[in-house]
Amino acid sequence: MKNKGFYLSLEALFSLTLLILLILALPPTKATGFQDIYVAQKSHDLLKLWNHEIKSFNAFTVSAMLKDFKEVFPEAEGEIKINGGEQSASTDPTSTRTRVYATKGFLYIDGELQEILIEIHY
Amino acid sequence: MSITVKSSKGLVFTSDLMIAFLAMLIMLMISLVFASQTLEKEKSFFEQNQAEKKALILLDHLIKNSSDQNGLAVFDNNKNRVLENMIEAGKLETVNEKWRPLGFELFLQSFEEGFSSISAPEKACLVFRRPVTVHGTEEKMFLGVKACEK
Repeated sequence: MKNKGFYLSLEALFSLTLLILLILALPPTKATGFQDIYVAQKSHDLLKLWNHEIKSFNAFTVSAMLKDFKEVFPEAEGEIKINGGEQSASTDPTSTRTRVYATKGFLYIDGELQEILIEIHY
Repeated sequence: MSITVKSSKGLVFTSDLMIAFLAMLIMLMISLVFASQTLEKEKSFFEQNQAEKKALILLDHLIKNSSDQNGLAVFDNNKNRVLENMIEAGKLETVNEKWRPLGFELFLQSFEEGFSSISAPEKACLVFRRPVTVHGTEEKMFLGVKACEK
């Protein structure tokens, strides 16, 4: 008499257990950090800081902005552009870093609304 | 007279089966070790991730809320709103006392000081800082949060 059925042998059981354990032993995924949000927060803070300085002291130079940038992002390179490059300053024009964050804002400078672009290169 | 054996049941144990069995046991042991190490790393990543998240949320809260909500931002009575990124340095210690029991240390640092001024922590610590303006002196400073492992 032929019986239809499913046979589970001992070695098949061992193989399945081994397969499950090998899958469990895969390298862990690195936890995603919060660098993206931290960089965005600091760059927005810079814009607010400069806005306050312009209103309070009417003082504005791109070089001073770059100096502030270096203090806030000591480990990164960067560039600050005003109105698409009318005025700009960069920490390292030859930087080849590939991870780039950018924040755009507007400041009232000399009675005109001007666009500020901050690029942060990691 | 002859005896005929029609069928027999049993287990045949060969040496190649024994070797395969041993190899599988070794693989099983190695896999268990890897799996436990993976679990430990995942746990550590998760805890660090949570600690970073809490420190960043706290720093954002301090900059965007006034002292009645345990923040440091200035409340402008004329405009009837909080001035973000402008802080009251005089209230730092009072607010610090609220957050210190939870493992956070708040500090103010001048722009020129840099990270080297923070003393080397004994245990693993996370430090985050954001630029702010101090109310009154209009000085640019960093408001920072240091969170250390308990």
